[in-house]
Amino acid sequence: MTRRGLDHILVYGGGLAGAMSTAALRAKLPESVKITWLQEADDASQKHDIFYGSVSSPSSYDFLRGFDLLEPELLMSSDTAFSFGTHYQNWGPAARSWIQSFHIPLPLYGGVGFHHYVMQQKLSAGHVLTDNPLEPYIMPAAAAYKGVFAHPPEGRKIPLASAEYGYHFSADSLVKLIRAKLETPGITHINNDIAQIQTSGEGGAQTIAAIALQNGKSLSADLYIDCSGPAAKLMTALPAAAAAQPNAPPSNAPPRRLKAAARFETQAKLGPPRRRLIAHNFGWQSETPLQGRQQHLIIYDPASQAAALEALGGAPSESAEIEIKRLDTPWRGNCAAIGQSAAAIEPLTPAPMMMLQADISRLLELIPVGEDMTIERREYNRRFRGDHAHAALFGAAFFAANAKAGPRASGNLDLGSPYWRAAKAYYARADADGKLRAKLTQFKSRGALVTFDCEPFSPQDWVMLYFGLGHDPARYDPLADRMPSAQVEATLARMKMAIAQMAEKMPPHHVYMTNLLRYLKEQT
Amino acid sequence: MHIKDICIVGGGTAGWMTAAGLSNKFKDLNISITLIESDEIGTVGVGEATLPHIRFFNEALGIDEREFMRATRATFKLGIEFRDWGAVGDHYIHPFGDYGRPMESVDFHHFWLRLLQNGHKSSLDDYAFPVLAAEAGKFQMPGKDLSKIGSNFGYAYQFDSSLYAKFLRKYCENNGVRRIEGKVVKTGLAAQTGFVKTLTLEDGQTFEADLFIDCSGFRGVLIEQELGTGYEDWSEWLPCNRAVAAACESRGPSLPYTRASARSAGWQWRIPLQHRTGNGYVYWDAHISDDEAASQLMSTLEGPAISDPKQLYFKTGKRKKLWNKNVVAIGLSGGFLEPLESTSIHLIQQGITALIELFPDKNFHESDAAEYNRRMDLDFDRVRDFLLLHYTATQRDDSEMWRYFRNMTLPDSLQERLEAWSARGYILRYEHGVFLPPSWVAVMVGQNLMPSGYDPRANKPSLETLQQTMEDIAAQSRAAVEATPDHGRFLIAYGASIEQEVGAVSREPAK
Repeated sequence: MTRRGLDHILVYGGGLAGAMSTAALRAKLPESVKITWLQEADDASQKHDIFYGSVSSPSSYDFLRGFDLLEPELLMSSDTAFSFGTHYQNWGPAARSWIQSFHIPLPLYGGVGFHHYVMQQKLSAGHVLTDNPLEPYIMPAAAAYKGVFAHPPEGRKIPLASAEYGYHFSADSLVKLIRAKLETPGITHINNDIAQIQTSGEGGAQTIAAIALQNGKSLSADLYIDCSGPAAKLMTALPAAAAAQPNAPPSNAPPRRLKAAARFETQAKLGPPRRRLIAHNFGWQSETPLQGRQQHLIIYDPASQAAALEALGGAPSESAEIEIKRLDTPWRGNCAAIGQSAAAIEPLTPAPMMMLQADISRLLELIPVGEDMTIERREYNRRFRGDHAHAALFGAAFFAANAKAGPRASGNLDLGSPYWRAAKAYYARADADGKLRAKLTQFKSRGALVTFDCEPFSPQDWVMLYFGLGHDPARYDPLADRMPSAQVEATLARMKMAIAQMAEKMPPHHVYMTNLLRYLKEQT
Repeated sequence: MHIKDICIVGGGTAGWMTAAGLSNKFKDLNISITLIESDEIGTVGVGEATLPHIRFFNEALGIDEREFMRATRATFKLGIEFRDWGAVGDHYIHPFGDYGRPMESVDFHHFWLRLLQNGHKSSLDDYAFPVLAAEAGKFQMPGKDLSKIGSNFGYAYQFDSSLYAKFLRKYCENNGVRRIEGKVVKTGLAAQTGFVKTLTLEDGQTFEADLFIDCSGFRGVLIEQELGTGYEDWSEWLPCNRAVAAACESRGPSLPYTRASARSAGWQWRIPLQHRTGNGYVYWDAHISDDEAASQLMSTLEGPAISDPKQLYFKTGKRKKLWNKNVVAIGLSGGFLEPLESTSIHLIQQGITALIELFPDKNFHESDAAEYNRRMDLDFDRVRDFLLLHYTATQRDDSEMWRYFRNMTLPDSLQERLEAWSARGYILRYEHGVFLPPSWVAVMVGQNLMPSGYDPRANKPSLETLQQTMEDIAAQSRAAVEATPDHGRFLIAYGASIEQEVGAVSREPAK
């Protein structure tokens, strides 16, 4: 080495972000780098873990493997279950209902995207066949409706191979599992409260010099990872960080605050491999089947607490309040903020967990090579802004205006209620540069997909969302007409039937899980 | 409201590629395609090098590779050799392929940098099959077994672009494209919208169409002369503005790569075809006269010249809107970037692909043009940065031109890229743009821009394990090249007739 490398990294915060960051750093960095995990007795970050939601995307499989948390262990030692996606119900002005599922890229026929053929059929039928013309061809959606699950076989020519899956998780169970794995000599655990954060340097060059603990000891590291949740305790100790305005809401939109509350209902029989999410005036509620229990979650505007708690149908065992926002520069000086200390995201989609994983992966790619972290900081912050802005577009699309009313529209929501008003105002800001507008315009006018560099949500995620929200394209790609109409019709009919038959043959989620766990136990 | 009539102005590579792409895609859709070109306006025809993406274009057209290669006198291309770029006497190959393979999701070059910074001597080329094969004058098709070293590369062609245009013309005419001989002398615009409505030729014939594609070359007959779209001038960054080209007889074995040799006021290309070698000198007229450039070119030809030197003039940059109203500019009418990395045909291809994807109806929604322009701008910007990298990642300061680049303020996008690389071998990634991380690595390492650090995750394996793994990869690469036939023989077996000696490369690979 021509320069002194990093010797010591300190992770602060005991919740999901802290556990996952510590595990990933330990797994990826050589033993010569010392890793300390500092947790306080009254750790507020864990309280806010509820805002990471309960659904992760297919990327979790590889991400968890990255620190040797393989799927068998995950299933046997936590309440994690499989997820084909989320069933949104009563969503928005048109009371839309659809399953937003995990899928491999949609097929192309003759170079033309699958959804164009679906639209061709819908438009040429002269009448509305189904409200959401895409959904009958989406294997994981069909399986989710039926409540069945099986591992998608890679590369085989059966409909199930088109499915992908994520996980239903509960943060507390996952943290417990990762924590147990981190009881190794490779990690220095310190459980004590911070007395004072000492800094050195001025202004933008300010860094953390040391952390003084209540027990009189002092800790210092080359790099600090702030996983303290929305409080962002280390970040706020750096005035430069404090000066960094969170994406300041325009004066006409008040900062958006959300509350969450959850209760767990014991359930011997595992529910379907999908989260159910229902829109209400207060916000939304969801049910997420886990092993042995079901999570009931409400996300609501603080002004609508009474209605929300009533919908929860029981006393919450967890609750928290958060301000939805993100920092412009989550890496300041020698301190990087990961997860909610950098960005608090509404858990409407798997975005919170996806972004937590993205934050950690980005950090791993940019572990400083020396004391001067200028390059790493700049690149980390640039990518952070890109990732989070693009993820926010996906969330914003849920609140974009003009969703067409489908036949099932009952439209019973009061969009003037505090949640819907604030959400719309907030997400309008997410599209300051018009990227979402461009996406929606292109899709609604002609089914074309506008994509930007390194978006977290895939084209197929977007296509499903557009159809789910009722943004059917006004016209389809004329190239779709090159294939004889009868042939397209026959192909689609075959596909639909094959998917239905596949779903028929698949076992219920609980049966599959029971058999899988039995098999895994026999193996070990 | 479907478009019924498309009119392409200008033949040449851009015009005929566009006609081929559109006529293939729009077959059976009752869309008529007319291409207007004049035999009086010649094309250059000294040979052109391509990128691997062209194979997808040909494949989509259903073109038989052997037939295409025979018709265009094509050779295979594994990459580009750059001579005298980092410093006089240096050479490297920018291959169409990866170096080694990623380990634990960390890019291979970080592990190589670790060895290097620990005092081990090895060249990054030792782990790149396409580089080793190119240097040995060998070629084979990429293997299908993705776990084998001989699979992770791509290839392109070196061919006579005027023959390619001719080849595609036949293809197009079979597809019902109507070719009209003549020069456009008058354009009729719609009064309200300013859209192009009609074109009138010298002989008085008038053509109407819904959509016009301007493939008229530098002049931009419709996009500029008629619509006055404007040009974004990039000569501040890429100041070379002239070229002189000539073909010569081939000497020595047939090589599966293009060569770009840096000169004091520009650079010189060498493109080997089956029957001859194309050459050209791209230069900055402020630092060398046309006569001098021509004489330098002609004096460095490897064999007797078979054409007179032909002069070309250009200005680097791109049209402010490649799609304006109902005119789409594809090819040189849309923009020009010097052919240092063989991107001209690729940018044509990108233009065609994007046009097909965003093909308008008669309403011509502004949003379609905006999205087309956004995509194309990104492609042009990123190619520009990559070309500029060659001029700035260098130790050369032996002429006015090289000193100009030394003192240049780079675009932020490139400056940040260089800094991230220099500090830690980090490559800024993008999704939309032709050159992937290995290309950036090839040029930066090839031009001696060595990082002072590397990804700390590369420290995870023990040094001994790492050395062993690296040596295994190098040995596999050497063995794969050993088993590869030489390029000339492969070409002949593939149906080519090459007019030069066939045999192994005798010169020792440099370095």
